[in-house]
Amino acid sequence: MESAWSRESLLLAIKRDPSFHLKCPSLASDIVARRFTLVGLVENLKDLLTDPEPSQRAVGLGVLSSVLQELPVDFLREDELQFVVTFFCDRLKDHHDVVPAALRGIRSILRMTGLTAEQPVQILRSIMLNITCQSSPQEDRLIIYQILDLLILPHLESLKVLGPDLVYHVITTIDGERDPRNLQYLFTMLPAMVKGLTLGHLAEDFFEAMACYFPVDYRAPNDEEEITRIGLAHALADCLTAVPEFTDYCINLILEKIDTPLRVAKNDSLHLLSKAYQAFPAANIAVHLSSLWMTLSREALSGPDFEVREGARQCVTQLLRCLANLPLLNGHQSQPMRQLLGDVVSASISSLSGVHTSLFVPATELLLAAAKSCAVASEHILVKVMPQVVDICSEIKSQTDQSIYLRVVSKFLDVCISQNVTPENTPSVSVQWNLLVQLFFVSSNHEGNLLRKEAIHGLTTVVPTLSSNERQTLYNLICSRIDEEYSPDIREEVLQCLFACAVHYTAEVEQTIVKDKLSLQDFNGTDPQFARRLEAHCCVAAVDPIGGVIFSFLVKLITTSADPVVIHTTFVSLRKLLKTSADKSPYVYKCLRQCDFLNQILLWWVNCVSSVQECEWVKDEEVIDQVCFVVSAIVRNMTPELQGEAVHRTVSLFFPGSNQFRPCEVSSPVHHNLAVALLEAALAPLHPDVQVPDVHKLCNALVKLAISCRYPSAVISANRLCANLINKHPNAILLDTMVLSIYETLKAAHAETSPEHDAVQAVATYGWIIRGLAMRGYSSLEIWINGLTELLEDNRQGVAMSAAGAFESMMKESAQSLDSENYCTSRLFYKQRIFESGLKLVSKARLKPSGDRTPYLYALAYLLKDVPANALVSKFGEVAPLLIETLSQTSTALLELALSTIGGLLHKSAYSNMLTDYVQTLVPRLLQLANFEHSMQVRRTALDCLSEISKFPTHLLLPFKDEVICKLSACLDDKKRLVRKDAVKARSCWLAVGVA
Amino acid sequence: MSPDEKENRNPTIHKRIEDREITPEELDDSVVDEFDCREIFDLIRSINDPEHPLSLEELNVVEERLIEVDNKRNSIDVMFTPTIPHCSMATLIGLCIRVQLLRTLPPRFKVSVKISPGTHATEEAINKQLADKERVAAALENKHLIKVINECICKSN
Repeated sequence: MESAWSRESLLLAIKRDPSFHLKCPSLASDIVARRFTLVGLVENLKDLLTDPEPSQRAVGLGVLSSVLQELPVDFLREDELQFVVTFFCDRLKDHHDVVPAALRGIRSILRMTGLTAEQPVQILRSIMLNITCQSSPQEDRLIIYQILDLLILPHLESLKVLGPDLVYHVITTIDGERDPRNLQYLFTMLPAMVKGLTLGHLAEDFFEAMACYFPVDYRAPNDEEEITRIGLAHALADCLTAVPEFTDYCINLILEKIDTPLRVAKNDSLHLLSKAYQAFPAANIAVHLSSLWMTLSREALSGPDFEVREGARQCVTQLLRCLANLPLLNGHQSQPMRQLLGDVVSASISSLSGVHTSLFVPATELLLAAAKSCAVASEHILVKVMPQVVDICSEIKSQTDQSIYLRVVSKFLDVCISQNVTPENTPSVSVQWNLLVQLFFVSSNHEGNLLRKEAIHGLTTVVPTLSSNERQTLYNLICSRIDEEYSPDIREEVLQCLFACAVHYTAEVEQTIVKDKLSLQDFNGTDPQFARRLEAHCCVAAVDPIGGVIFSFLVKLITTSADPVVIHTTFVSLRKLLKTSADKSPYVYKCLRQCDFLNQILLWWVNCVSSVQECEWVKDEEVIDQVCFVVSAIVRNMTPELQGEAVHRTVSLFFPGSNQFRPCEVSSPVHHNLAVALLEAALAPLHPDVQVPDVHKLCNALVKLAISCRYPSAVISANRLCANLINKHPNAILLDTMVLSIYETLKAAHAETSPEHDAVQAVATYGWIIRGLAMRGYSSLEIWINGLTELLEDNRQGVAMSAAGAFESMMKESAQSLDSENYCTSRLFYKQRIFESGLKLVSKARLKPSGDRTPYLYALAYLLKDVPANALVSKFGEVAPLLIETLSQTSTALLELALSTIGGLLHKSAYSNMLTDYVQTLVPRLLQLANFEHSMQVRRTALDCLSEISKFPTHLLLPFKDEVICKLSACLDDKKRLVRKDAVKARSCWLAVGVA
Repeated sequence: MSPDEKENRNPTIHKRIEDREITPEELDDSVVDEFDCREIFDLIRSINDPEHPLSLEELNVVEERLIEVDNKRNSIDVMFTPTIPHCSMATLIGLCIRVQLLRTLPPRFKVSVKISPGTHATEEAINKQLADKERVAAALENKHLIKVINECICKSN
């Protein structure tokens, strides 16, 4: 088939479309398909390529370059390639308008395979002769760098004939670049290039050409920019450490820049130094040891801030690690690492005696950093420094100071253990080690709380290294502390220690502690030691195989005990265990499954409910809460198959055929209804694909309970569970039927003729159902939200306010049982959808007289509280007037709510930008509310909002600055101290506005 | 001594006291909370030292026991203790305390800032300077000085 392009049509297309030369893939595909030849194309472009007007020549050459770009890399024959190379190199001599197209062409050619050895040289020479990179625009400079990238490394052998000229050319090309985009490209390209080239006498010049950017001074115009200062700085560090020839220049650069007061320079220098350790040979670095140490010690001990000090410490660690690999040069004394280690110790040791001096913490941190470097360093510091610390510690009287030293010792021992420097592996440290362990043992019996706590912490650290005798002493100590210790902090520390022992010496701990010393046999709940021992048992239950015995015992304890204290204590301890082990310990859940914990507990609870006279705790909401946590954690950690089995048992337990136990019936007594919380705990964490039997019936029962029940906690559980089940319902058609029937039930319940109590609760349930539906992306959601919005104008005040409250349930960030932890579906943008539909209330509110708007204002404040920024940004103009109007209300509760909503928006930078247009309205109202006499909460929140507003751009604030400062001085004399504190903060923020 | 070198290289650091506990009375809107020493101390304790990256509380320059508040007579007396008797920053520190109290206390209070007796070589001269309203006002007109003061105070806020 003939090509679609004739000479005339080609020229016409180029003339009509000014950007044609940038996109001519059809030309390239014609050439590839042999419908058209490259020579034919050149002939067709002849008029353009030889046009006396440079811009026309540029267009012609542009077409050719773009075609070359599109051609396969191996398409051109050798002779064609030679022709094209010569032609494009020749074009570099042309007018400066033509050069960019020629450069693009050369870049395309360099992608091709089959270039001869001479052609790269020809191209480079031509560029060297004809192009001055610095005078080209940014895009062209980038192309030149890309050409260098494609040219030098792949064709290095051919280019070697140029000798040092090649390196010189690269230096002169990159010299003086200032554009961050180009610099980012250069910094990424240069390390490999530097490694490939032979720099010779030009090494220093090459280094200087790159070092002039250090430290990188660049501020990205906004945070989302691809090019960041830190990215550039890290890339530059790679360039500066590319080859060992740079060692001296690089270290000198670091030493020079770290001395400046600029924080950026210090941090970048430290980062570069840590790169240098990895890149340069240790012997080259050792030459600069004394100057490096002087600088690093200064920064590590008295650097201006934490980041610099921490960076310097890390550099010391890396320096020691890097020098550790050096062979002994001239005998033991001159080994550079030993020398440095000696310097570190002598610089720090003098500051160790004054625990309250400013150098104490930096000195200990420096020693720790040195110890972290390698085993030799840990050993050296342990042997040389720790005995002195023990001496100092024994001389001082204050237990606070002693505890600080013990903390330091613990940290050192921790480092030593991580470096495998223990008496077992390194016998030379055993004397010092035992000294420290004895110090911990002695201090663990001290009367001072702080000291005891630190001593036990230290013992926890050294648990893996203790001898058999020491372990027995420790077990005795642990048991006596658990039984007798009155400080909860120390007991917590003891439990940590016990856990560490159980991990390392499981059988021993099970036998000695669990079964013997801390046995729970013959204890009753009133004994104060019972709770403590139980807590200790639960703590070690996470360790395999101790858990099995303990959990069986716990089940027995719960199901047979008639003592409410025992039951409460057991669940508190279990909750703590499950909270701390969370997903980390599958062993705990395995044990719980093995002893059929879930089923037994639920059965036990149902039995307790039936015999409420003896089991008063079934009415205790605190116990219910503890049991629910345990139950939901167990169900959550089951596989879907196990959950499937459990759910049948649970449902048949809660909906038995007989009339004994009916938690979901309104007519049941309170303790029956309260058990709904347990049902929620057992059903809410189910996987979506686990089918709940009779879910339709269950949901209807829950809704009826939520409407008519008088016990708030049962109502909320019923609402949450119902929303959860609706959210996870697997069948959309069945869900429609179910939702429709719920809708009818709710509608009947909030009808004018229904009792007001039922109507109020039905409307609250409405909110929960909407949330469940919205999270799963229900199609007819808008009907529900519109229905709720209409309820805001209900004549009954309680119903209208309940409708406003429903907006809170719909929007609030975390709703227990309705989150991803409980495997609920949570569609992206569901809040946006609620927000968009809910916004109708704004137009409805406008139609109402301002006195009747209260429910609307409440609903709006709830709607805005947790709305995502991207949804709010386009609608903010619509809602802002109503929100700000709320600030003129007199109701304290409404003002508090509106202010906390505005405060919430102001605290997040994404939202606060939307409020900048309303400074003029906001500031005077907030100033007025800062003196609102009826509620200190209103005054405090208003002042907090004013503090946040002070972060707005200065030009917006300056017109108000004097007025705000003047009016806030009245708040400084508020009768409440907390308000005065907020006023001080707000006033100080405003005083700082416009001050450089 | 080079300009970068600090006068007191290794000062003693004192523990910061815990934040003030909020009492039920403080949360009760009907109770009037009078100004007390602790409240004044909270206003000035986080001012940064011009020399060290530490607060005046950590250096023990200001202490709660050296503050006196008289609500009836509307007067507040603050005394501060320089870390060393020849501290050249004493005037600046005094000025920082004064400015911070000027900005954060209601105008009804008469505030005096002095050096604790016997803790500085030129105590009298500095006290005189700090008590002189005209001189304090003149110092605050000095752009460089107010910048340094703002740096010390603003970090604390």
